[in-house]
Amino acid sequence: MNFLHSDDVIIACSSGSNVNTAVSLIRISGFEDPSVFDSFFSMSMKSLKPRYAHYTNIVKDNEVIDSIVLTYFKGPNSYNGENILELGVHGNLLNIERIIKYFVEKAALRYADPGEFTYRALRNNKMTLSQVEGLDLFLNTTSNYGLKQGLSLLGGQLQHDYSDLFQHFLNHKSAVELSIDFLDDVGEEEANIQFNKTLKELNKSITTLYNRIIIDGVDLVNPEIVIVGQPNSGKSTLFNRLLNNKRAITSAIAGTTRDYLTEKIKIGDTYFTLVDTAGIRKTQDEIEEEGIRISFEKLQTAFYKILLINPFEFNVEEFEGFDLSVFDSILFTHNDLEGFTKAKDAILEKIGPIEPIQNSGPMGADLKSGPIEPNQSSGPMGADLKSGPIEPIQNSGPMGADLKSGPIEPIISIRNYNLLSDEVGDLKELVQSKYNIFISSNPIIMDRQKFEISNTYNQLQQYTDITKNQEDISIIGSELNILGDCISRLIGITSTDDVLQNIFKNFCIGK
Amino acid sequence: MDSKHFDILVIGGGHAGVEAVYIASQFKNLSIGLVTMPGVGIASAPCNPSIGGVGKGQVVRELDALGALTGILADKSGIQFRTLNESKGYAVQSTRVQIDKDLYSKNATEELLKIDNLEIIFEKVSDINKGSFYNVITDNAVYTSSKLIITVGTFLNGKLHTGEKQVEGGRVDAESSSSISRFFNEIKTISAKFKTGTPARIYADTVDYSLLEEQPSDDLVPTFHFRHEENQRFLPQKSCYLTRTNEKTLEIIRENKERSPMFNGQIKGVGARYCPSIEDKAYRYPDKNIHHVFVEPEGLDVPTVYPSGVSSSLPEEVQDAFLRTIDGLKDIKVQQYGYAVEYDVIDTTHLNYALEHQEHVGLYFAGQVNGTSGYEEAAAQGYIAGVNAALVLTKQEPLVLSRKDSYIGVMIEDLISNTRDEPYRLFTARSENRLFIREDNSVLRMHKYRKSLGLNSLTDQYNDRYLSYFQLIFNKLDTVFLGPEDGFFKKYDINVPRRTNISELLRMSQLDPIETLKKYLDYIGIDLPSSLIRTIAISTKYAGYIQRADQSYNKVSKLDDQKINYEKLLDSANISFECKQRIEKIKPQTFGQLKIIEGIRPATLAFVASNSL
Repeated sequence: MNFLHSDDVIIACSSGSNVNTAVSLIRISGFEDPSVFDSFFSMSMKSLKPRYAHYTNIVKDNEVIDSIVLTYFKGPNSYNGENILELGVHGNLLNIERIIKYFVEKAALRYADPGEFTYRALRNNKMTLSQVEGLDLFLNTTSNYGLKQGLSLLGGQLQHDYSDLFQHFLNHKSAVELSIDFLDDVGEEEANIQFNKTLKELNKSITTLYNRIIIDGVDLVNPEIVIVGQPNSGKSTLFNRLLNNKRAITSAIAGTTRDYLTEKIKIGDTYFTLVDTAGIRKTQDEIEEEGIRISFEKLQTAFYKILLINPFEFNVEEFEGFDLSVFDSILFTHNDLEGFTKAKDAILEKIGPIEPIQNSGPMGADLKSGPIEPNQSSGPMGADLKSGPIEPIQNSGPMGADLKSGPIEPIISIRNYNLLSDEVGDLKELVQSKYNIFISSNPIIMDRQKFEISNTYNQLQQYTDITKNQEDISIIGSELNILGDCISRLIGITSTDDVLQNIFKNFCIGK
Repeated sequence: MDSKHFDILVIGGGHAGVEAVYIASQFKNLSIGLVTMPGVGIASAPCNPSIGGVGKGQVVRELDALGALTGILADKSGIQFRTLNESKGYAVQSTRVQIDKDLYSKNATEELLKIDNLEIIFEKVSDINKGSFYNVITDNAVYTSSKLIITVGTFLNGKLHTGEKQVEGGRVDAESSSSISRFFNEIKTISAKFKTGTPARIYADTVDYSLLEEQPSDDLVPTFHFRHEENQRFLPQKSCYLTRTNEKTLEIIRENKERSPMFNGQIKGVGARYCPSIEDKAYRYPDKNIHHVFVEPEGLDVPTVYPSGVSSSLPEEVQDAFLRTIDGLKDIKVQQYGYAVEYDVIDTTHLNYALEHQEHVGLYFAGQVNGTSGYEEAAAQGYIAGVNAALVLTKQEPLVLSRKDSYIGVMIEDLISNTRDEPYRLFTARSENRLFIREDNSVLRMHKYRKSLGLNSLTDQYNDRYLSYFQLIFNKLDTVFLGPEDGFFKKYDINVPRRTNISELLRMSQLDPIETLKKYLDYIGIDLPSSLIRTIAISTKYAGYIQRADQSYNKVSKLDDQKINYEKLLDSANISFECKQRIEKIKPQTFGQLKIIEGIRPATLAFVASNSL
């Protein structure tokens, strides 16, 4: 309900965002003049004609993110009576989220709450209530329909998981109430067993969801393939070879002020950003040094990391202290030259065997470097994390454990390449297969949900601590209600009736 | 025929009726009448002989601070005092008192007879109708009144079942009130009948107590009523005893399933899931054979005990057989077999916060006839109906207790917001604000409500004094700092790392806040009643948690207190027919109440929020 009196500019995907589709609709509503978005599009907002479709590009730092159809509805002649921009974008979920994220970060607007567009239509008398009811997506409420309503905004597996979470919460809350209102009936021992059992299940349920949001260690919304190597190792050649087979949506734009090149490349159904970095070497040149620093930085969040080694010119010292096992692929180039094998072996001997760290996934690097923190540098979530109530997640606890048994196995491929003649198709397959593995682990990529899940998870940690140190069940119950509020915001609200219903269904109550 | 006029007339002398007349008669200018069935004791206890319990103890203390009678009666008739949930935390601790049921009724009658502006009429009502006043007709007289409060319990079309035997009646020792049902044809009852049951009463001297686990009375449990000494006991104390059912017990019950009125279709009424008969337990939980049975004394001179946990409407010989399988009950003699009652209940969604019927001005309903169970729930409703009838007549604002600061408020709002599908009992789980709605601070919570009545009696003086002492000490605790070397810490061997104020000290997990405050006040030479010390200590201990919960709760319920005009909503073209029907039925007064109505669409809420608030 917090948006009832808000006049913020809001953005959301209006065409449903749980499956990939050809085209999706993103709406921005509530701005005064479209010219505030001038820098986001390749066309000038001045030439924007209300109610006409315009083919244009969304650009970010001179780079095309997507080609779209843009339509401007000038209020009051719009869906909700406000000025609205409708962006018909390519309907890949990640693409949609990337675009929305871009606007949220760079423009003065925020994510719309569920139903907020429609609420504004109602507020501006653009709709009658029965029309709104027909839309069936609305506020999170405490009415008994809250849960169903909340869930109807989702779909498929996620809905299932949230229902699961809800049930586990209900079970645990029931167990708490059982030990207060019905202690005489069930007895202390049974009440304790129920309490611990249901807390464990609730913990598991929330942690599972939580693990699906912190795959953010790599950026799946805007996945990058980063090529690193020393000068003359063949980076640019590989970059171009990969692009030769491209059906990329734009041509390469050489960075004039930066030290790396990027290009869109489509592998499977997904657009990746291919990044060619500055050659890595020891240097006195400040600008070059900065370029090298950026190369390493790019590497941190990259989805797929490629190291090129020209065994004839490789200088191990320049990689000193650097963990080579973070790379997904290490390619030895120039294998057509005489003495290749000998040179390669010499290097392998120097740098020692390159093996993935056992039992750690693609996030291995993060795990090693101490406390795992949500990606603080990106997204509205990051911003909130810094200022908000969410504390960095400690590196102990269930998460580490779960990751170990997680589905994502580390793979490092070491190959020899003749960059001038060898096919690079198998490299693309490796990228795609890693991507598929990530996606199959079913990450949650919607930022609003990520935020609420993270909130819920942190409150659960606090709650669990309190249950360990606190004997007062009424305090425990009160803290559990706070956890319930977090869950409510994620999925809809639990009523007392739900809890009592659950108790009566499962326990023999009554003297 | 005689005729007499009253300002307020109450029909039914049970727990609801008694509280209704007790509070109404405190408005000294009003004339109050209580019509009750001859031969049935006032405030009798036809089911379990106890007052209080989890959630209910809180209600009794709320009532006491509001100037009601239940707490006084429970103290004076108490033969066993216990604190339930003693190890569970202050907010959920509740007092329960086993009462001598004969003395309870006798004490109630005596208290009412003392009241000048109250007349008790022991006559059976034969008809009720409405002209310019409400007319209540008995065999002897016609009584008229401006306000009529109906508290007829299970007597509305009541029917009793024991095995195949069926009798018309509100309970075993009284005929039912079916003859007045003509009047009630106009009043909407809910479509399903409710059902409740009671166990057999057993002669106390036929129980073998050596096989049972004794639960003695606790001398330290504080009394309910503020003017009674803290641990005062008016009567000798008795113990309760615990025994259990076994495989054999349940086998007999399961074998006789087809003879159970509950399960062979003879009884169609809906019983409460939280208060199941032993048949319920046997059939619904086929794997569970051990159930607690509490053997509770019914009084000092009452020859029977109440076996709590085995209520039953099976035929008499089956009841005999299964009871005798239970440890300690092998040779028992039954005085009165268990039975079930089916009865009609009012559709409480037609009532407002004053428990007044929305289509019949001046007509109030309270107690079990509203579909609740429990003496305490009934008493609280009687109080609300009685006080509000009196407030209308004295031209004052109605008394509406918020669910945020009282269990009574929780119950009233729950009752009038939704149609019940089973008897309603208070659970602490029903409150969103459990850390605050406690027994210990009931005076703090009720003070403003009682004061608003303008009665200025002993209760008010006590409440005022309590509140002012509380505020004085409570607010001081933050400002008094003690260094780690302070004499107080030395004397009691308490280690604190640094300068600490008393509030912080009371919140330390390793210290008992009540004991610590007691010691400190003693150390500095301040003498306060221990109930007050307790309230101050617990309030301090919980303050942070309550604040946290409030913040979180307020986020989701910011608009709840906003008043809405439901009549305007009914005129709106923007609300669906279905929602209007529900709104019309419930007549919500606040946004919060609109929100908890079942089936109200979120879109309606959004519309109301945007257009009416």
